[in-house]
Amino acid sequence: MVASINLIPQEEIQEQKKGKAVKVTTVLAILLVVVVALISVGIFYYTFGLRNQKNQLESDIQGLRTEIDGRKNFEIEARNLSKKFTGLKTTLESRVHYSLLLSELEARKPADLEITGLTVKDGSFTLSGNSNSYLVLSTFMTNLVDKKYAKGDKKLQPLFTAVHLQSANLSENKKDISFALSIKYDSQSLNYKNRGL
Amino acid sequence: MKPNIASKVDLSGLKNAVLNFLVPLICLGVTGALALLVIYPSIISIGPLKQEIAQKTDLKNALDTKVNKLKDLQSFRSVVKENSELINRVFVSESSAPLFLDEINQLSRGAGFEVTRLATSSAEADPTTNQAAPANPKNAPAPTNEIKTITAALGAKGSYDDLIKFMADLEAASRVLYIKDFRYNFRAETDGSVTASALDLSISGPYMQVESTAVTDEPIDLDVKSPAFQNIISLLKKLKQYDFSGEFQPIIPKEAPATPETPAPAPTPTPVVQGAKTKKSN
Repeated sequence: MVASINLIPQEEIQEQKKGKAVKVTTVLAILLVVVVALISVGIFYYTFGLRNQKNQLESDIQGLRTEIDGRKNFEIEARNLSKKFTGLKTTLESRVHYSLLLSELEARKPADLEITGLTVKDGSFTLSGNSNSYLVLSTFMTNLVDKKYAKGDKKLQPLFTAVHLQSANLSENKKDISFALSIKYDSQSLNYKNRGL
Repeated sequence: MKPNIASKVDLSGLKNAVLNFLVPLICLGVTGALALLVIYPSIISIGPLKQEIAQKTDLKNALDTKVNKLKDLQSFRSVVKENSELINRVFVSESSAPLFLDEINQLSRGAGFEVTRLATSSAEADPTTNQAAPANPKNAPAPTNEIKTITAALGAKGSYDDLIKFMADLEAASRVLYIKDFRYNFRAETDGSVTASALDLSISGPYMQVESTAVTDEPIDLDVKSPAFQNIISLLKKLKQYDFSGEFQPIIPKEAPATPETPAPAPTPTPVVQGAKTKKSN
């Protein structure tokens, strides 16, 4: 068996390895610069595109502004109408239609009961009246808080939310009962939609 | 004979040094320069640029919408004008106290009231409808585009049915009026029979003066084709218009009833009317 003998000196082998490593480093450095250059170009084009897009948008905005400025007088007219409409809508929506309240009271009032006084504020009122019996008064109070009361306006069935008897006096001279009620109502129900306008 | 220098100096070493050390160094320098001068500034600027583009895109879309809306509204110019007039008639710009009182007087007469008192107070900002408005500091000019109200106190005699009719007519009147609170009381006469009831009503008339300016970048909220707008406009068309009646009665004090000899003052409406007696229309 013939054994192979490496006659190249060890120093030379080291030198060759060093040379190869240096060459690889050079190639890698060149590759790195190429890659970085490509990335730079890519990023540059990307930002250039964004800047172009921005400039285009600015130009479009300027054109639109010029167009809007040309309709300035009409814009003021439209804005005035818009503000007035908003104010009117708010007012109409917050307006309490007391005609509904009075009609509903009348509808729920038994025939033998008489309303002699009303002091109405937003959300509550006091009612004074006369009735010829406690039963009639009780019927009236029940009618007021009846959420399914059929003889009144169907949309206003939940109108009265609470009824409290403040006083009831039996008068011998008049032979009837004078009473005072404190009533709470849902003012939102008395809006223009339920008014049928 | 001159010595050959080239043959004596080994240039391959220099070539190797250039190739193996200078080129990588230059490459690293170029890489660093590109990273510092191109890549880093570009990456830094991308975020703000994108943000700016997003903002400008939004603005452009808003302006586009506004232009389209303005074009749309202009194509309905006559409708817009008509609606403006209608809204201005219903929701007046000035307090117009004489017309306000005259309208209440006409409504009272129409309902069958006998007016005993009709007085107005000065206009004030309406707190119920101006909740969103910023507080007005002292000595500052009154803000525009604010809803103000003129209030009248009405004293009258009439029945419960008259009161319902008055309320219904008031709610259907073309100038928007509303009642803040009211008191209704039967007044028993000496013989014990009830002949009339006393009514005290606080009636408010809101009004609003608008002074808009053209703000290019702000959108217009108005949509004349929206159901909300159409509903309100159709509601307004149903309301009854009240102009000056020209039939304003002279001031008659309650204690001193008018006699045929009493000369009638000029029929000019006044902001404060005490004891004005009106004819019953029904």
